[in-house]
Amino acid sequence: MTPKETTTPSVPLASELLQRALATNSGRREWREFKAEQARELLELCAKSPRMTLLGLDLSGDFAALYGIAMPVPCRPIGDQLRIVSRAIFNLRYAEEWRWQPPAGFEPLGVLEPFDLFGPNMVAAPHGGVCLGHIPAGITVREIVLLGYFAVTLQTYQLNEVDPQGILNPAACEYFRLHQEWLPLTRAGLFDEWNPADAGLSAIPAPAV
Amino acid sequence: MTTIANLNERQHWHRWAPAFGSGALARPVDLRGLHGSAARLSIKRVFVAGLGAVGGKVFENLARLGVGELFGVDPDDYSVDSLFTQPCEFGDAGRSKAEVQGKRAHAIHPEIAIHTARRWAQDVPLRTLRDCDVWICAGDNRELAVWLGVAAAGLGKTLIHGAVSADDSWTACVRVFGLQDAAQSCPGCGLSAAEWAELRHREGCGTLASDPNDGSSTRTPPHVCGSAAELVVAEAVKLLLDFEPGPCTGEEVAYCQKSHRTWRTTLPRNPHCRCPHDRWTLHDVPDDPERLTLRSLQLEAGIAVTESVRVRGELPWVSTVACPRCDRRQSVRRFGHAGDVVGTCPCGAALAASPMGLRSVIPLDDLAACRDVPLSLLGVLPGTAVGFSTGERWTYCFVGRPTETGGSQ
Repeated sequence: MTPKETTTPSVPLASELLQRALATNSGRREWREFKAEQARELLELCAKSPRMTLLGLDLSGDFAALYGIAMPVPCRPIGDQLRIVSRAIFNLRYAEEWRWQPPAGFEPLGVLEPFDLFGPNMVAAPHGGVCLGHIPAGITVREIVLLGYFAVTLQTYQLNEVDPQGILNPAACEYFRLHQEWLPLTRAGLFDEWNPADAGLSAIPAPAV
Repeated sequence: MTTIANLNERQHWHRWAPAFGSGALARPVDLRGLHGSAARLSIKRVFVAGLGAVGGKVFENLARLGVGELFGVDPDDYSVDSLFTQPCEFGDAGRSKAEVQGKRAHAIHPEIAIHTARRWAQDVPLRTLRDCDVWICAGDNRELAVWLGVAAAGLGKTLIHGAVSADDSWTACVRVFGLQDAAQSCPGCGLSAAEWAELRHREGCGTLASDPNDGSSTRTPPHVCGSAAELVVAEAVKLLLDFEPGPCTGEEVAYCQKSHRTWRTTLPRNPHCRCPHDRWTLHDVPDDPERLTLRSLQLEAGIAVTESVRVRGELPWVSTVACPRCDRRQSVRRFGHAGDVVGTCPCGAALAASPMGLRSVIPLDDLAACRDVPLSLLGVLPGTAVGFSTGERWTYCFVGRPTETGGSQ
């Protein structure tokens, strides 16, 4: 069986998205420069990673980006069987004050698709948040992207509910404590090749539509 | 004591009004070396962020001096071992520091107005901060000091930071940041890259999370915290009474109780500081939010209505919310906190704001759609501020009339 695939909308070229976003880049000079630099770094990441696609970019207020990554994504289990889909669409935002005030772990990154994300440090739709742990002030967009990738592929995880940083989904925490064979879903880095078939995803039941 | 419902009903101030009316308690007492101080201090307002080992003692001393109105915030409660270091009793364990210190200050001096809240300083309305003459940072985290520095620079206030040295637990310090002047240093100017990396957000992610700052009590000897508090109060009094010589603005004064040595160090302005150091332009617009729109407010503030204007409020902007029932993403377009119910989906489900739909600055599309909507429908409450910027600097408009207690809703 094949995992659920997300249809990719027709997206302008990343460089075109960047040019459009730069045209409306606003704010203090330092903030505009920071956003432009982060946007270019995000494009470099997309160029470097064969699995990452930039879907949207807005620099008019906060830094806001939408991107998809082909990767194993844990979804709500059917019975005791974890479901895994092969693509996630991330919604990333970065507010100016985060350069000097650290954001909460769940603030910068959310997952728009799949809707039934299932992980101890993630919360499913409608919130779609991913906890990235303690985030330092002035973190870069590149670091947020990488932290998000590692969190969703369960290469980094937190299974202790009483940890001061906490977890977002206690039920998923309990599930993964009992099913540690899923940790991690892949050891591939963002820049590595990853093939859903090689990862055995074809053996996993397809999600209910 | 009365508790008044506050901004979006999650924030509560404990308020103690003057008990006997002005001047009824006793004749004003001018203390030695503070000639004519009583009358002058009675019209001043001071904000204290952090009411622990240093801040609690600062609050007490300011109450004794008869500062007219005191505002204090602290999000924490006392634990059983707080008695070793903090100005509290064994029986206060489990009670909020804000409530205990407010009650204590009121018992010490019933003639002054006291407002305390169990909350983060970052959640205090700008109007309250703006109305205070001096801000005191007595929190035990750098994040608070940096945030207060940015806000003090914006509102043109002096920030006094009292602490015990991180390197030596017998050394008390006070730093005075005269942030009316953009050339002055702020608490962020002196931070190294490693110290910036250590700044931690005040909230954890999970609902089951305990104190994100690990919950451990300070272990600093109470006499050193007391010295830090006294240094802070001395600088605050110099500032409030326009003393000559004035406070050590732009400097740090450190006193070691072991060696009895004192250091006075200039705090240099770091040209590469991440903090904005920008002074905001402030406008008061007394009209009710129901009668104002973003467009009319902008015109009142003398800002041209162009597409390049950026707008922000005291609360985040909720752009969209995904419906928990039908999974559709709905445009909400109003100010609100994450978790607030900000609308209803056409399917009938309540829409609660989530971090993914929040923005700190209103996106251009939303702004175009909301320019002529009454501010009350955008979640702007009377007494709160809306900020506009067309370039480098922000202009904040305080909407509506302040409440009877100085607008500290």
